Amino acid sequence: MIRTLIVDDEAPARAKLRLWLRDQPDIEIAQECSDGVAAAHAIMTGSPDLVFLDIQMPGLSGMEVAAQLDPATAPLLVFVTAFDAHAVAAFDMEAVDYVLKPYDKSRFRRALDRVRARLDRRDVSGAVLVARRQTGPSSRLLVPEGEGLRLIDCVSIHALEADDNYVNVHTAKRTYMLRRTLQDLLLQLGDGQFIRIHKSAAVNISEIDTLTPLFKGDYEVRLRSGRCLRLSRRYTENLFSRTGR
Amino acid sequence: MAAHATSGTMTNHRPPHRRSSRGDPTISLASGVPVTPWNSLAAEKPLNSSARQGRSSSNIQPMRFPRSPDLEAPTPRASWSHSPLIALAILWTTVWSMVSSLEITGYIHDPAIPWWQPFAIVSISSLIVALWLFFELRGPHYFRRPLDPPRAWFLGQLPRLPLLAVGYIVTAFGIRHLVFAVKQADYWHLPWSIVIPYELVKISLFYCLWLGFVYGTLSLLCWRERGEQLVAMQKTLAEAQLARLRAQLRPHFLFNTLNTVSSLMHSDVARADRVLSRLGDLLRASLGAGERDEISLGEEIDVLHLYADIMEERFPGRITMDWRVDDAALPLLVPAMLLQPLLENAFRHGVEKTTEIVQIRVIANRVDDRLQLKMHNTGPPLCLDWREGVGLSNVRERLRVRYGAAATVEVTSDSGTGVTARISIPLEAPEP
Repeated sequence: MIRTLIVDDEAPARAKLRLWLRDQPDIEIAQECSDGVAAAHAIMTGSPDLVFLDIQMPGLSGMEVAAQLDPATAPLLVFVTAFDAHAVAAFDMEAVDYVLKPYDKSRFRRALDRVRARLDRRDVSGAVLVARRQTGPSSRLLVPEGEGLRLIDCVSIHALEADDNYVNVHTAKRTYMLRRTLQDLLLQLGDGQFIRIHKSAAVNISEIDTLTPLFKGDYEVRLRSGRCLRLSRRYTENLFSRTGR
Repeated sequence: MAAHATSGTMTNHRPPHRRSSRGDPTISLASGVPVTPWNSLAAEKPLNSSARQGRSSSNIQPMRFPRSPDLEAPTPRASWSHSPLIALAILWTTVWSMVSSLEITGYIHDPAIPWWQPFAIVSISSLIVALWLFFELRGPHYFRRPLDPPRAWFLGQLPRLPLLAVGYIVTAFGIRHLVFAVKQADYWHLPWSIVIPYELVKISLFYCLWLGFVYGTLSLLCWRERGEQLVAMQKTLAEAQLARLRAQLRPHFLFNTLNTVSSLMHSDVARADRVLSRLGDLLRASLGAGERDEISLGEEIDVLHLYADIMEERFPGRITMDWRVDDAALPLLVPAMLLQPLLENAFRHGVEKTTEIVQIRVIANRVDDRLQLKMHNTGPPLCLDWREGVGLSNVRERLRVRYGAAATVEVTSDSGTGVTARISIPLEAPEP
């Protein structure tokens, strides 16, 4: 069974998807959401196989939701949109499935056929990367908080530290644990604000306070918050070229 | 002796005048003091400060947004400068100086007559004319009355004539006699019984000629300004029509509405039908608009209902519409397509940006001689870097063209109550 999530802020649009998905023997509707953050939460907690994702929604748009996902674990996304000239132009049928509103049953069936073929091939991560290209570096990051999710501004992040399968996201107030790889998180956040200083750490450039040389070309990076991290020799050149030293 | 130079009364032809007793030199255009609207168009709708009183003094904090400077200025239009008239005055003085000089050319070249005598006679009257024109133009005389009807305008300028004529004769002849006396020469001219009536007739004639030139210049300016205003009105109407069409054909609205219909067809055919017919009516209203500059508020509200009905179908249970339209306001005329951009904004920035239930309230009532329109929506406040969109700036521009500073638009927002757009427009002055 394909566990499916329906995301649209307009009730009639959800109703139509629900109606037609119910007819499909291999589809099971897991949940319905009416905004972006709820959708991201449902995806991260419920791990559906397939998501029908509206693009224009309050809070986080469908594109932004997709950009926040981990390509390794993301479900297959089918964008359902009325009109997003830029997005649609960027969509490449090979990489991303989308349906334009209003759609008829044959269009809908075609989309489902592609979905099934893709699921068979386990070829599902394309949409996340396309969405990230569309939205550019995320300026807000969805982090788990209690039972739910919270959107934090990326400028408020001081440092990112990898820890096994998790990344610790340090802000002034607290640390959030994200089940992502550091590499993928840095891809999502872009390299404008964050810079890698170690195999397992990255910092917000504007938070760097001092650099103190250590042995063997390593440095100690002291952040304004007082937190100290190690700058490994491999990343010094990269950092100095960015900070102009 | 040389006095005969100017054969008595022929001393000078200038429309020599002193400044009128009513000239009030403290009122100067240069200082930015508003001139009373002089043209009839403006006079019908006095642009008083109450124009801005539509703003309620609630604790709602006004958003910072660029307000057109015109809206702040107390006089929006017909606030011409005197500059074209100043040019005219200089020309006038020069012409008359030349004419007088021409007339006494013979004397200037007469070796029997000292050169300074004709020179003094001409320059004294030229100077008086120039001085008079200088003070005349400092005052608002020419702008005080509407140009139409012309007779009233001209009659309004006449009371200054007697003083001008008498003042000129006394001053010109006084100074000449004085100058000649100082030079110990004899200033001869025809007897006063001839000089005075002659000068009176001459000055009146010149004054009327001058008024004719002024009237012509002002009429030309007025005509040109009205032309520009008409063009501006047509242009903004066309833009509004285009903006509204674009809004309704805005792909998101149109395709999402079609998708709603497509969904309802499977569950409730009658409702699907209703949405389709609303959409049809809405598009028809947009396409038909633009044929008239102004429509009744009732018609405008009908169109708003169509739009709101469709949105309520798209977001069932998430919108409560609250219509508070005063019946007395319904027949009042408003610029076509004035309110729709505001309602659209309420939906786009209120409803579509939140998952909460949004209340939209449309209020229209007549307060004294003004029509007050208010569109309020709960939901997220405007963000700090909010800027006016095309819809709102078009509304502003159209009101400016139509009513000048007498109409106001403002958008306020706070986190507690949401966003409010207010329009206040003056009603047409009642026919006499």
